[in-house]
Amino acid sequence: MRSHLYGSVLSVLVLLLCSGCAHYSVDLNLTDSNFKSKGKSIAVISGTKEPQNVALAKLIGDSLKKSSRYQVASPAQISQAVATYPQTIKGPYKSAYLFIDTDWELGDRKKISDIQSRLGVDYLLVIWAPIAVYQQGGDIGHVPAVAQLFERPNTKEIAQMTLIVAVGDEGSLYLKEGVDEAARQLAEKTSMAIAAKK
Amino acid sequence: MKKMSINTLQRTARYFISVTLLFALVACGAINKPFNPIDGKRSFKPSSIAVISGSDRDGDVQLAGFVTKGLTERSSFRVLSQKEIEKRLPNYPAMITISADVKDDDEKAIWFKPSEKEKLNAMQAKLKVDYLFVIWNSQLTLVTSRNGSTYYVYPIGNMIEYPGSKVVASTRSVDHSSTSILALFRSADYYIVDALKDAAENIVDEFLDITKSKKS
Repeated sequence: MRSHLYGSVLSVLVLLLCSGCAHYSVDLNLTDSNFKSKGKSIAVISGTKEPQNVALAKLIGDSLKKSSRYQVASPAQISQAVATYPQTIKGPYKSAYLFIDTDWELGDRKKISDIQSRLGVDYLLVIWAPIAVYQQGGDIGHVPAVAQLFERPNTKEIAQMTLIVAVGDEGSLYLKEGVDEAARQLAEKTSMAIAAKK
Repeated sequence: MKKMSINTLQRTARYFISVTLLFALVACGAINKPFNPIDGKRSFKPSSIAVISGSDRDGDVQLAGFVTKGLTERSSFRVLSQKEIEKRLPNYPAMITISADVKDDDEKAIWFKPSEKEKLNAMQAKLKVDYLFVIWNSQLTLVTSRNGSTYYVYPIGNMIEYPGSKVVASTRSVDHSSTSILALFRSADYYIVDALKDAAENIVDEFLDITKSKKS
């Protein structure tokens, strides 16, 4: 139904996207306005088994390691703690066919809590990027994703993130830009950016 | 580089494919073999079967669910429910990688990579069924015009017989569902799910015909 409502702006938006103006979009919001960091350890994991999802989680983890004071769990640590990683974790969305129909109330908190306690980290960022959308015949695709940041011990949701990254360009520069922006926002909004170091 | 708001870009991404696909003849010339035996002379024994989703993508999971339902209701095969499969395979749905070597005109394609056979055999060992039917929705495309939108789904799959671990049938089909005025009152996914249902029904129809397993 939404598709009919925005028809008038369609052509302008398509032109913008085709012209290469937008390579990513990242929007991270803290769900707890009084949030104060209670630890430094964090793991970034994929919520699906899709290769692009697993790669995105790893890249955001790598970027976070460089741009923040978080102690980021390595892929080896994750695989060791979660034997069957990557796992399918029911995420905060109703469906994901051509786009992600987000519903932040949904998701398998029990499974997430179990994974967080196995990893033994203060914070767990779970990213769901179940689809990649391509233009017919085009090389550049878009990977929409949603993510939630959880805090130990009760798997309390701290932040919600929606992002779209472009993939398929030579050298994956678009992807890197989107990934770095996601890590930057996470570090800054949780007061863990390197620049915020006192 | 300018940054767009997430809502804008989400909408853009949807329309992006809509508009560009307007010019694509997506379904023309596509092979439509919902259930094609590799050996036309082979006979099938109505016994036990499990329909396996090839990944945890929504399209694959839905398709496997619809085919399971159709076979359960209409065939004389003993069909394992998706719940039972999940119970016996804790990491289900697993990621079964699709081969990139399949030719465009191959009507009897083996869709999974040879290296994935071991994974499928391990599943069968736990499920203890005579047939595994692994299935994916390989692609989802959207074509829009002034008259509305049409969603195309492209199921692919293989049925493997045990013991012997032999691929005995291949699926390569296309189905679609077009929006109507009722789209105003339906969820965004209604037509995608509808196309997947149609695709599953066609697979089951052909399955019953080829395996001669229609419930009497």
